[in-house]
Amino acid sequence: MIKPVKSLKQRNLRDRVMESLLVFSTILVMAPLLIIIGYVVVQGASAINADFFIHELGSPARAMQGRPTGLVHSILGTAVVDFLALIIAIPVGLGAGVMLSEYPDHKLNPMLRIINDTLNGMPAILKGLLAFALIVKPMGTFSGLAGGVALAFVMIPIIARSTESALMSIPWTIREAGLAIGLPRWRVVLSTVMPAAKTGLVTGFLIAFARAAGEAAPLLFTSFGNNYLPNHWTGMIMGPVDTLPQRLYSLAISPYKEWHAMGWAAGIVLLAFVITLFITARMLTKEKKY
Amino acid sequence: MEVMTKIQSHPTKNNLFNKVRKAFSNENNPPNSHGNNNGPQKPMADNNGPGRIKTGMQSAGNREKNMEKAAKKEGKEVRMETKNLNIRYGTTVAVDNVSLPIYNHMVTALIGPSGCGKTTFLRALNRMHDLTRDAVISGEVLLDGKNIYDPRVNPVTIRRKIGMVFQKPTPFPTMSIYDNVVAGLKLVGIKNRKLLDEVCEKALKQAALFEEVKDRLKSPGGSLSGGQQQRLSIARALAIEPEVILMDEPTSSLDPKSTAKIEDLIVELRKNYSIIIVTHNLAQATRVSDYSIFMYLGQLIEYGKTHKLFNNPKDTRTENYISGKFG
Repeated sequence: MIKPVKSLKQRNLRDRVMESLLVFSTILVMAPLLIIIGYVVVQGASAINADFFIHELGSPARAMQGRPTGLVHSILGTAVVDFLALIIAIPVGLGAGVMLSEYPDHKLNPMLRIINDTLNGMPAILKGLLAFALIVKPMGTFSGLAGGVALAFVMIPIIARSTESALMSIPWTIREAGLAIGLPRWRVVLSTVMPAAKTGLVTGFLIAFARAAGEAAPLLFTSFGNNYLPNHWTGMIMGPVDTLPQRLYSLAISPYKEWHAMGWAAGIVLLAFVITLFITARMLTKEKKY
Repeated sequence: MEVMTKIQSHPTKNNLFNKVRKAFSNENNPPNSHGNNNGPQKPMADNNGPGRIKTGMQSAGNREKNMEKAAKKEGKEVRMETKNLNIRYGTTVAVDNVSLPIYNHMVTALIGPSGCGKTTFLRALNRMHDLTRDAVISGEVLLDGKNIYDPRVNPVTIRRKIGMVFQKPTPFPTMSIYDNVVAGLKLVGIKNRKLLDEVCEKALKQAALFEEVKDRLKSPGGSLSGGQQQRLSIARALAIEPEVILMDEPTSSLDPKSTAKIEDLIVELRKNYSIIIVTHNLAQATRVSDYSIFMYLGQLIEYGKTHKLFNNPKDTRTENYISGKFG
């Protein structure tokens, strides 16, 4: 036997040192998340009460006079704008993902891949600017629709990428089997590959949804924000509407102490929402896949 | 076991079955008719000299003509034909100038060592390479005299005439047994329930699977055993009533019992279909096929009636391969 240079004791020591370094970096990764969650909850818990979920924000005077205020308009607004974004982003992102995965021989494919990656890395505020030019300018008003379009730009590249990897995880032989029985390519994708990749596709939608739900920047000059609930629900789509991340920002930079606490509370709601989405996505991924 | 007794009762096939079996048992070194007994590598190298390839290619045309003549005498019609078929992947030549006829209602076996281009050749026969971006195909593949690579021809219509069964069973994972079988009809808009039921039953019976699954047609295709899944794949290919069936090592992942069932099935299907089967199992080629094609390094080396090719190979390379010297 060739003897190692170091003794067994030394080698064991090294092993332990390496392991503790790994544990240390794991803690470093986890710490920020735990600190954020802990701090947000501690700061905002006092502002979370029934009023928070029933009333709208109103003017600063309302909070200072101790009248009930809440962020129901932001919560509803977030739901409306995010779902609008999802409705726009799913067909587009899904289409791009199918193109990336199923038509590798298509001449548009390489260009699509570059554009999609660029869009994914593009600063979110620029996506807001684009939506401003496309929707706000022609409509002449800030609107939930513009916010939805801006967030859709955030979601599309994420959905395209997750769709691609979900479809690629289905064995290529399934497609060949479909083609061999004389099915056209689109039919093979639609009826054999996509049903098999269903879980992966939905997981991708959820992750994109969670990512976009936390974005404030693209909403600043698209959905803009609103201290009140619109009189009619269509006002949420056609007029300026409040959303949680953008409201959190506005509350945080406001000069009122009462509003600061509400900002933290908005943070709790947003965190709870996003974490729920991520856990759901995670659980879906763990389910049996084909 | 049935298959074996059938073969042993056949005098010529018996002889050749023994020969193949002997080849596999590795104890042999049959007398080499070409006098080249310097081990497995040497004769191959000789045969691959430039002169040899040239004569090989010259004789290809003659051989084809002769075979066609012989076929006409026996009343066989040519169903498919390849003319100077070349397939490259990038700069790698996978199929090199192969011209051959495929006869109607015959089982044709494609044999040869791994990487010799058998599967590539087979997949070219129903345009399966369309999805492989770097596969470059030249030459012609004719089905009933019409080139399937004609730009005006839709690959989908070709694939409805030329079905395919793959090496691994490929049931559609989210579909029931029933839906798997009728997928080729249902997914192109055929909704007539009665017709679909009939087709499903007929195809499953043809694939010798009906009795085993008739009470659970609604359970998922993936719930079947490997051998059953492969017969399901065959039933799915039969349901669209193709004219030619391509099989790419259909029994390579199956146990002997399932293999025997599928071999019986191939012999049975021959009555209604023309079958081309890629196989690594030489004994299988002798059991099921009427004609055999031996390919080596992308070239067609020898093509003829199976019992002739196995009992009396004309080319040293064929002889070396079937006697187990390489491959």
